[in-house]
Amino acid sequence: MKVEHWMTFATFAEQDYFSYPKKDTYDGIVVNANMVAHAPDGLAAFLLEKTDGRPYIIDPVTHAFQHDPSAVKNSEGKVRKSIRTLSEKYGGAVSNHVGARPVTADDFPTATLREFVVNCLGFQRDALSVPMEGAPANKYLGQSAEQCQPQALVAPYFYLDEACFDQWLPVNIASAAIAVENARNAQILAAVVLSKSVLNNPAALARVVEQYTALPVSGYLVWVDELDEHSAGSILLKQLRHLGLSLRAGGTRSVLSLHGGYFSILAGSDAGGGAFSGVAHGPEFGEVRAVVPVGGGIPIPRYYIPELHRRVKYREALQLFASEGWLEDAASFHAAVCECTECLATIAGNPKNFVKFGESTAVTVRRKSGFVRLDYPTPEAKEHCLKHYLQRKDREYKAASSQSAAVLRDDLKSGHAKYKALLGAEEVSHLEIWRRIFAGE
Amino acid sequence: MKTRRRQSTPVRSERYVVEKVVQFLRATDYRVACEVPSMGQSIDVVALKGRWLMCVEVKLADWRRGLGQCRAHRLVADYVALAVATVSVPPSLREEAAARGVGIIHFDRSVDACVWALKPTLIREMWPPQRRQLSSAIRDIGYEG
Repeated sequence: MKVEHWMTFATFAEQDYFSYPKKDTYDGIVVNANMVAHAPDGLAAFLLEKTDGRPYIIDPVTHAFQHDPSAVKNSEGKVRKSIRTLSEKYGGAVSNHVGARPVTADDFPTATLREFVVNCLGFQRDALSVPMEGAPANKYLGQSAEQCQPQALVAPYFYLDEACFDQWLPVNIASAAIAVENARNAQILAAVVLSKSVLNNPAALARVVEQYTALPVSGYLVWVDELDEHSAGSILLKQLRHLGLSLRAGGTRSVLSLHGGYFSILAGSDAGGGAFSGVAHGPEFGEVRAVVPVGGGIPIPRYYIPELHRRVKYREALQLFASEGWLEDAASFHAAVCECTECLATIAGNPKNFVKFGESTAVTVRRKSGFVRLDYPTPEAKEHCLKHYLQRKDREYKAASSQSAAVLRDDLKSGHAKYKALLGAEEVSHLEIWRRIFAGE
Repeated sequence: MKTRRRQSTPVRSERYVVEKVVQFLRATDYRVACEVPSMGQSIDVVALKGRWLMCVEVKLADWRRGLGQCRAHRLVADYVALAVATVSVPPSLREEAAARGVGIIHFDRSVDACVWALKPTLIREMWPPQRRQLSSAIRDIGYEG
């Protein structure tokens, strides 16, 4: 069963990776509306020049206006320019309050909601397609703005947590219904963006499923706030799969997991019964995402261990590989860890070159206690880690799309057996939890 | 009869203990560098004598966390030690450190100075390419004093 591979745009520095390892690796691109509002021409050029004409959708990020205003302000306490611009595109329902207070469900009586939805859809239709039509890269392609429109339009949505569930659920449902009325032949997607507590609440989840599946939409986006598939328990993951399967309605509607890892990929495969038609991730830190942005922190180089299906800190990977003798010669490393083209090129026959995945430079930064020295990965180390990660993700999607459920489950079992002895049961428990879920145990 | 307790120096901060550890090591002919970045961490003190290199992690009290941080230092050091400013060295710390070959430097508040509570043992897990990275970082930073 095909699992579509989508990638989320994060920064222009990463734009070259949207055709890596191959031009056709990705089935689609997700871009956030605030980025679109801030740099439409740059993103239009990116889509035309760097993605080989892949389909794209714009996440309208309308939930940004329902959080505490500090979530959309910069370090100087001012509303971020991209959010301010976006709010003006969406109209008074949000622009009148942005930076001052969060919007509430009461701010959206029917007429206001209708105007908000129409503005939001119009923005998605035109914000990139119009500059794409006029872009130099389109000179010889000659695509019209209509041909450059997103693959589907996303109805404005708000985040559902237990505290505000009863207020926002009707707004989300009404928003999607209005979007369908104003689709003008476009496909409409409804976004199901919720907290782990809602996912874990059978009654609330049943209401979500009942009301969303009644909508005449083409498909759905699913995003659970900060759901880390590696540390989540089996109940939560089963509920996630149940949500996907329910929305899929027997495969008649698309369901894209907006921020998913290998569990979501497997959930979309034969092993998971096709719970997701596609899964998106970012080039960096994209498999888990909090609804409210949190601080970036220091980027620590991470190496994706293929059989663990997770990134680990470089120093932890090094400790493991060195202690097991996998860095004694290049052949041992490639046999035991990875033989992707990036690893082959970086190791280049000499296992000492594994150090290139963790090279760093010292940077002095100011903290409350004074100046401290921190260790930042070099751009080269980040690139090695990222390219290796993207190669392995490509393989994961291809395997999930082509291999049988039994083979995929056996892969989890063998990874668990191999690494349990080396890292302890706790570090590899996610593999066993996932296998049991997909085996129906 | 009540015994009179010794007056102890208040420990102001981890930085203060780091300074004391540096004094202690320099007094025994170590060349010392502080806050040396390594593999995404910052090693509090790196001490060199001849061709031998020792990493020292400094903690006021949270020695379990310190022992955890010492783990990655094994890839770059010949010796690893944990410096603590606890009132005394807990037996469980002594036991766990001994099992891992990690030394213990105890900052004794009563005398405002450091002593070896447990000498580290030679570690043979060092990975030369990573050690070269650390040496390069030390050269960039320079030694104390």
